[in-house]
Amino acid sequence: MAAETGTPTTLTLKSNDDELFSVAESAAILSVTIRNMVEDGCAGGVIPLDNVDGKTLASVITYMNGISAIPADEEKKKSYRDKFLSDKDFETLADMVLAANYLNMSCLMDAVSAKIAQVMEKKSVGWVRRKFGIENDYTPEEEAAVKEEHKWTFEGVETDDDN
Amino acid sequence: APLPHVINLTGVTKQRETVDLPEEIVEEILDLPEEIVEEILHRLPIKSLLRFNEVFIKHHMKKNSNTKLICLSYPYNTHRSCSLRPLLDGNNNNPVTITSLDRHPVGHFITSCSDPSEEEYSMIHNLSVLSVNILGSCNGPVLATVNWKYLIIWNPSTREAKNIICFVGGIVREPGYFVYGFGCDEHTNNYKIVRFFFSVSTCHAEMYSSRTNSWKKIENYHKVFEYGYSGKFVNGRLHWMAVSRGCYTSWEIGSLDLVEENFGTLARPDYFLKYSSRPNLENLGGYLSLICFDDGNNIHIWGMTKYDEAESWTKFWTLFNWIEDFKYYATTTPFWVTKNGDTAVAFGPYIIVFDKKDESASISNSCGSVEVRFGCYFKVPEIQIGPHLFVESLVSPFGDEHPAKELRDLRDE
Repeated sequence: MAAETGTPTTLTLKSNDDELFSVAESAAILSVTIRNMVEDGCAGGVIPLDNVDGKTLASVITYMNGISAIPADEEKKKSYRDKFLSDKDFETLADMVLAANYLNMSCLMDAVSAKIAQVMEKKSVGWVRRKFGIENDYTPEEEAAVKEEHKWTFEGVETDDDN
Repeated sequence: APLPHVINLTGVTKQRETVDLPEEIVEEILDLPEEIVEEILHRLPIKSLLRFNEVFIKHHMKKNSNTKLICLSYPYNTHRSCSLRPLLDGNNNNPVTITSLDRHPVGHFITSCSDPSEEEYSMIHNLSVLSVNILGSCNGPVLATVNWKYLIIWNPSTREAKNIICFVGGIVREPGYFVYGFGCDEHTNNYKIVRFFFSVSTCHAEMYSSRTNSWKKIENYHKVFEYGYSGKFVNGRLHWMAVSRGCYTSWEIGSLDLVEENFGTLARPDYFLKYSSRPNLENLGGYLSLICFDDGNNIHIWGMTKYDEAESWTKFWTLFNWIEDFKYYATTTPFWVTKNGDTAVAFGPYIIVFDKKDESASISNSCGSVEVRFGCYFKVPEIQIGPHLFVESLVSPFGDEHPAKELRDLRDE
């Protein structure tokens, strides 16, 4: 698939639920995982990404295209990332952090981790338990003792009705 | 390399379904690998981190008992490097105010201690505070004195505070003064306070250890440490400006190794031979530094870039023609040099950042130092800034004593 000079090379990525996506190589190589595959010459056909589903991959590709279109201006890139992540819910963010990790995209990894931390910041312990799937195996006495230890950290916690 | 990972989109495992989650709140459960969880937790403010402590500590201890989740299990030596905060000495109305230059030396101020924890309240407010003075800080915990009477080790991030019992009786037989130092033996996480009493003819030195929670007598120092300056903790050792009794113009840098517990003397630049006044000794962003004012309103800042190598003393900066307004605060010193070379300076109520980025405004002179232009400054009203720095961290010198932790340990046995 030797591309002519000047013509942008396009890669085809395949999600684990068999959706196909076309993306400019220049944008896709933001992922070190993909870049390595390209450099090793295994990007000839379709690149299978077994750990990313179609919905998440679509989102990641939107990000790749968006961020690579911005010239080297950290401020602008940052504001793009903020805007890109602003409407994502917790589950989507979690899928994205896993995808960013698998694809080895440190800038996305950083931004999504920070966004998740921002979402978690004022949440209750119960909310975090549910979202992270960690069951509560403390006895009520233990839980009270733990809470007592850092009482002030429980001030200003949001109620759980939102996401 | 990418980390191994699992996406569990279908949600709950059978075991959880049968346990305690009611139908309506069963939702997608994420099985994020520990490394990613850690990545996220590192970005949480300390307050949230402590609140979620119980969730993750226990979980990760159970799931993988060999792995230490560093950011949650009292991360000795794990700094949250993004948050370097100057600590401000308080006044009568507002005993302790911590003001943050959050994340960047040029940043916004956040007063983060308007609602003291109970521990802090009983420690500080019940002592009918006349003054609070910061004596030093190391890896997060801060050594402060209230009314120059009580010694407190306090971690402003976790709000843990402990009154350190110390005795004055038996030491003070004649007029003199105390000099303090605070640091730690980083191999054993043993936090140590050193206290000297210097009188006209004698020295009395003792050391407190957080491991043993007790004081012991140490070797006396043969010279005198300057009045009013606490030890600067750099490279595992505390440092003070030392002068000989009766000969106060010559000085040297005296050090105390907190592991070996012995004294030493550090190499210093020859430059200062021509000045009669003693420079200030500071810990400037991890470098031991000497700061002096000359007759022409200029400030010279020297740093030892390689520890205990005389040749490594380098003139970091000369701040030329110091602005009139700040002359009154001439005792205050720079407190931070950022990685890119910007210098933050606290002068009275001002914090000023000198910007090195704009090279066009910097002029190298023959001494190899760089002239910096006036960057920007903030004014914190009603307060005198003591140029202290602490690192936001979860470090607890007394971490083992907490009732909740004991309870957990008991149950796990």
